[in-house]
Amino acid sequence: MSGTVVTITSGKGGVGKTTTTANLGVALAKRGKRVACVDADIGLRNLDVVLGLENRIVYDIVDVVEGRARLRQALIRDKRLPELQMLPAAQTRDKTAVNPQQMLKLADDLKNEFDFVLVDSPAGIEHGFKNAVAPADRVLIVTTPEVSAVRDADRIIGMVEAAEKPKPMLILNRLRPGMVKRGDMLATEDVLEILAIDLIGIVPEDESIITSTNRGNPVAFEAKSQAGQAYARIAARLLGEDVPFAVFDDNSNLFSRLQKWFRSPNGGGGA
Amino acid sequence: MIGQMQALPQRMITLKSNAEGIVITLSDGPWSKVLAELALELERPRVVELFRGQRVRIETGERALTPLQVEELAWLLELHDMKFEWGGNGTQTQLPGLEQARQLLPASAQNVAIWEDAAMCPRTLRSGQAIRYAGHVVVIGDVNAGAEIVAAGDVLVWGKLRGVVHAGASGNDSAIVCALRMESAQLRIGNHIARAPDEWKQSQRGPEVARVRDGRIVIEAWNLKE
Repeated sequence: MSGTVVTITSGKGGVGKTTTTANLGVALAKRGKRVACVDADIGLRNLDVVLGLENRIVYDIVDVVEGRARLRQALIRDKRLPELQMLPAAQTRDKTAVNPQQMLKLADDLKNEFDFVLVDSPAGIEHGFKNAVAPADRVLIVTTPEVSAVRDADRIIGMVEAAEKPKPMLILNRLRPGMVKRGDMLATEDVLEILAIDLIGIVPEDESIITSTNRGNPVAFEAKSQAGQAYARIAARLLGEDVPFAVFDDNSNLFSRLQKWFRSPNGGGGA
Repeated sequence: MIGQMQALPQRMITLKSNAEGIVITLSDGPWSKVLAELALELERPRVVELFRGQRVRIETGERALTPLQVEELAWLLELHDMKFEWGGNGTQTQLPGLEQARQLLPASAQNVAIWEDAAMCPRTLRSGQAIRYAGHVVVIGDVNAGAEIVAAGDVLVWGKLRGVVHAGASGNDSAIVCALRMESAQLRIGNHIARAPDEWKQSQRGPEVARVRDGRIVIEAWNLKE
């Protein structure tokens, strides 16, 4: 049996590729799937920090590719979920330390052991991006609702299509429903209209992401977190389940809750 | 027809590499097909790689080129940043260079070219993707911001136009740009450039056409009755 390689990429930096990879890894592992998260951002290693596994790194992806370590030695098992493992990037090398053929071989080896291989792509459109996309069976594009991020996502989609990969799907990250309502932020429909690909998930802006990322404890572990639930829904959709898209209400602050209360004749949430 | 194989289409051009550089040989097939095939070849990443920094020599065999054809060819190669020289038919026949070709054309015809031929792009052009073509270009889909079309002739976009278009790029001011939704930040026609106003109204306007009138690019409703 063979697993699926899912590459998470974006073009623009800072839109949440690594956070998405870590949380999808957790969400899929919580569903009982065997997951390997691969950090392909060689030289700017981050995934280990977000997953809270930094102190366990002995070998890395370049050690495996260059034959200094076996895959099993380099993989780090998550301390909370035994189904989740991570292959860290090398920090002292750069993107040219690995080539697309080596990525294909590595992914093939991982596919024999895991149900999902999540590849965290570096930002940009150069060598590192090409490495990350080469083994992909599916590609997820992460963007925030900002014009510059959407522009870069469009560029990346074009390059994924040119690499003759299946049509990528979109994760819209850090959406702020309140701002969309006021017309200050691109709405989901605006983004989809430009990019013309299918949506696989919307992740609302959630302050707990920052603290959880700093602590190395992904929000997907927290059942109450809105963002955590969003990642769980994306994981379910990756597993082929038909999950309806949630409608986010901006009731994050007291003011908007009060506003709502005054607007609604019954004082409740209303319609 | 059963069991009969379809004949392979005849190659209109051949590309060869030798010690001195690249040699492009043109067949004596229909000119529009020769040009189209060359344009297609020059867009291939592998060819672009091969041609980088190389000298390019054109062999025309028995074919005699008209000055306009020379100009089209020169324009196409210049577009791909190629240095080229004319090889003629092997007997060192000198073909006119670009400047000479321009002088040979009657003054009235210099900026007018009727292109027999159009390139068709059946999908959306995304950021970073580009079409360069020595003829008309038709896109069935959107042209997203960050995409680029440079055409010697007209550009028709059956969708939203948000990228940069240069129609009549070899200096043809009579070229036009049409789009179902004209939302481009900048338009170029011939030797003219126009940019969208900084406060651009995204109103629900219908199909529009851009053309040069009195030395300026103007955008008007796409009126078929005209």
